[in-house]
Parts: sequence; structure tokens; C-alpha cells
Amino acid sequence: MGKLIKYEFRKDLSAYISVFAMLVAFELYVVISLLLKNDKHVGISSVLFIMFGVGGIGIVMLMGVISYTRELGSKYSYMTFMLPRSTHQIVGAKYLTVLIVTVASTALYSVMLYLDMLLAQNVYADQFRMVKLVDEFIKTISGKGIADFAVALAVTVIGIWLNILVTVSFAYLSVTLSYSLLSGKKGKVSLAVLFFLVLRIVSYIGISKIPVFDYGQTFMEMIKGSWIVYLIEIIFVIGTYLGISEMLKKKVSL
Amino acid sequence: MIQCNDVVKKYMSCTAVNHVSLSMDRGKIYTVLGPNGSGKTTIMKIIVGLILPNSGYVELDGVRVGTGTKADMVYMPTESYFYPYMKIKDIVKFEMDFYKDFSEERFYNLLENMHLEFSDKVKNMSTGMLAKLKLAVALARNAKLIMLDEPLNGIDILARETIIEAIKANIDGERTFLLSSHLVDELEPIVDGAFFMRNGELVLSGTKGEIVNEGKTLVDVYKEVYGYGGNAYGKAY
Repeated sequence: MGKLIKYEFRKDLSAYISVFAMLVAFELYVVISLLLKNDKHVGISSVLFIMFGVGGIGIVMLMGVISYTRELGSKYSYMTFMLPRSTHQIVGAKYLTVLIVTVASTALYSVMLYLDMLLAQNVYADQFRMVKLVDEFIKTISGKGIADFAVALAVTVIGIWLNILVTVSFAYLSVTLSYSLLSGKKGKVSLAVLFFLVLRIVSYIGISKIPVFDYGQTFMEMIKGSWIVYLIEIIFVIGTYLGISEMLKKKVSL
Repeated sequence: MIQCNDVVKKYMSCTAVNHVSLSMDRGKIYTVLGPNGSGKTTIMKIIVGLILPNSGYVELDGVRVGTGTKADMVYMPTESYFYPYMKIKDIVKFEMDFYKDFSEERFYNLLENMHLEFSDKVKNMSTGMLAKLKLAVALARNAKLIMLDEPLNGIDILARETIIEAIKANIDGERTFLLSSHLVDELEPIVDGAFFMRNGELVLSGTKGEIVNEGKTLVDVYKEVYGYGGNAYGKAY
């Protein structure tokens, strides 16, 4: 599996490098602006960094879907599907690669964000007394402090990853379905988009009907109340993984 | 060694392979012949496990073709199939990572004999260079079955000779070869048996001795089977 993941990663390495290079470039812009104490550029660079950080993580995940679609439509899929590996292993490697890249890029982004905050704290020492004010504010509204808020935030991030993984899974499933049905014909991408929209809409409607438990009013307690939603999302991911593996084994003709 | 039993493959608009049964022995060289769309490539892909048949099955040494048997078979497609980012050294690394029978020494010897530069990027190679590279990758494997789909397709005459010499040099009596090509006369000297396909059906098969009568060549039989200069021949021996 490790080797499969290595080559999955290698296929899109140029794209990943471009995205990470842009992120580092924006980070340098933020750092230089902070060091120069140029408030205008601190503001601009921070906004760009946050926007690109969030968008960049989305792009990185989208790369997995684009890469998969390109692969099924091109002859270099032979290199992958002629390997003495089951379709379950091949598809599993794709899922894991998307997850690893997402986690790595989020971690990198979080580290940069944290370092920026530390640097800003040094540069704008007076304003960062506000951190204590924020801590008091959070304690008032949620009953917990910044540390607990950070834990809740981490759980939220994991929930977002899971949601994005569900989205990517639906995209993979849609692509595989369209390639299974329209083997050798045109219109696969359009059909894949249609399938994706249907799957996403149906899943949103379904998830909105799932009960959310009332464990309390704090942020962490509200997140805990959504455990069924998280569980169902995990089931979606596993279900699409199994479905795609079986379809590739039986239906997709390369 | 290889046994195809009543294999059928249908697509929405056509039947690509229609109840084909054939067998191949170890160490022999076979050719599958037929016009475009006759099912040659489809049957090769079914044998290697890239496509699942709608019915029927393929066995390699008594084992149904599947994930495990892919390690014992090579399929060289008509088109270039390497990842776009790859250089030759990346291909070697890839093959060695997944195929225990890949011989790096034999691969580089083949490249040297075919005058290919080791540092070339795949996407910068000409059709002829890619044909040689694909062949080197295929022949560098000690697989039980090596299938070459149109190895001489779109290649100039000199490169064709190099490729045929490379194939001949790698016939070792252990590995079975299945080649498809329109250039029947170029392959005739090296093959032991032939399969003639038309419209997804196997219309004629056998050893060269069985198929080719005195005074006739494989090319003559090809013309008879596919109707060149006469009526189409539809009966299998």
C-alpha cells in the first residue's frame, strides 16, 4: 500500500509543489509585513494568506479527483490497473493519499498560522493583551477557556476533513459510475457532474434529517451531539470506497 | 498454460469477443491476427485481467486470472502507457517496486541495443522511441506470458527490424509470447501458432504447421480468411 501511495503522490507532485509554494509565498508576505510593522500590508497579507490557505487545501483535495478522472480516461491507467494489486488496494491508496495530503497541508497551514500569531504577539505586544480578554469572553459564552476551545476547534477541523473526504468520495464514485456506464462514449464528465450533484444533494437532505443530541450549550457539547452525523459520514466514505473498488473490478473497461 | 474458455465480452453497442476458446503452451510464440475491431486487443486485455468477461473464464496454469496472476503476465498496449512525469529511471524504479521478475540489467541492455538515451523523459520521445521503450519494459520481465499488442505499429522499417530482433533474442523457450500485428509477414518467421479473429470470433487457430499448407504462407492464409482477392473464409480447421 505504501508504494501505491508513493506513486499516487508522485503523479501530482508538481501541482502540490505549486500550491505549497504559493502558500509559503503568502506566509513570507505576512512575516515580512509583520517584521516591518506595516499595518496595511499585514492586513492584506493576512487576508490573502487565510483565503489561499483555505482555498489551497480545497485545491489539493480536488487534485485527487482530477487526477483520478484523468487516469480513467487515459492509457496510463494501464500502469496502475495492471499491477498485481487488487482494486481495493488501488482505490484505498487513492483515498489515503487524499487524506494524507489534506492532513499535511492543514498541519502546515496551522503551524504557519500559529507562528504568525506568535510573531504578531511580539510585534503588537499591547494589542495581544486582548488574548486574555478573548479568553474571558470565551469562558463567559461557552463555560470553557481557550484550551478547551482549541480542542473543540480541532474536533471541528476533523469534522471538516471528514466532510471534505465525503465530498471527494462522492466525486470518485460519480466519475467511476459515469465511466462504467459510458465506456467508450462521450459525455462522461457531464454525467459525472450530474451524479455528483445528485449524491451531494441527497446526502445533505438525508443528513439534515438525522437527530442531533442535546448534550449542552457549550461549543464542545454541541459538537458531541453530532456524533451520528460523523458516523454516517464515515459509513458514506467506506461505502463509496467499496462500491468504487467493485465497479472498477467488474465494469470499467480500460 | 493459458486456457481461455468460452469467453464473451459485450459492450452496450457491440460484442467485442464472442465465445472465444483458445489455449497456449509454455515457451511458444503465438500471433493473434485480424483486421481493426476484430477483438484482438480485447481478448488480450481479458487474458491479462484488465477487462472482466461477461461470461467464460481464463486460467493461467489452472488458476483463474485475477490480481495474483497479473504478476506472471505482461501486457504491452499499443499506446504509450507511462505516467507523463516519468523518465526512464522512474519507469525502472516503478517496475522494480511492483514486479519481482523485472530485470534491471536486461532492461538497460535492451535499451542500449535499441539506442535509447537513459535520461529521456517519456513525453519527449518519438513514436519509435516509445515503441522500443515499451518493448524493453515488457521483455525485461521474466513473466510466464508476454503479450505485445501491435509492437510494430507506426514504426519505420529500421526500428521495426530492431524490435523484431529484440523479440527474437528474447525467445527462450520458457516465456510464452502472444503478439498481435497487421504485419503478418514480419512475424511469420518467429511464430509457432496463430489465432485468426473476425468480428469477435475465433475463425481459425492452430500451430503454424496445422494452418499453413505446403506452398502457402501465413500471409496467404490471412488473405484467404479475411477475403482478400476471394471469398471470405469462415471455417476453422
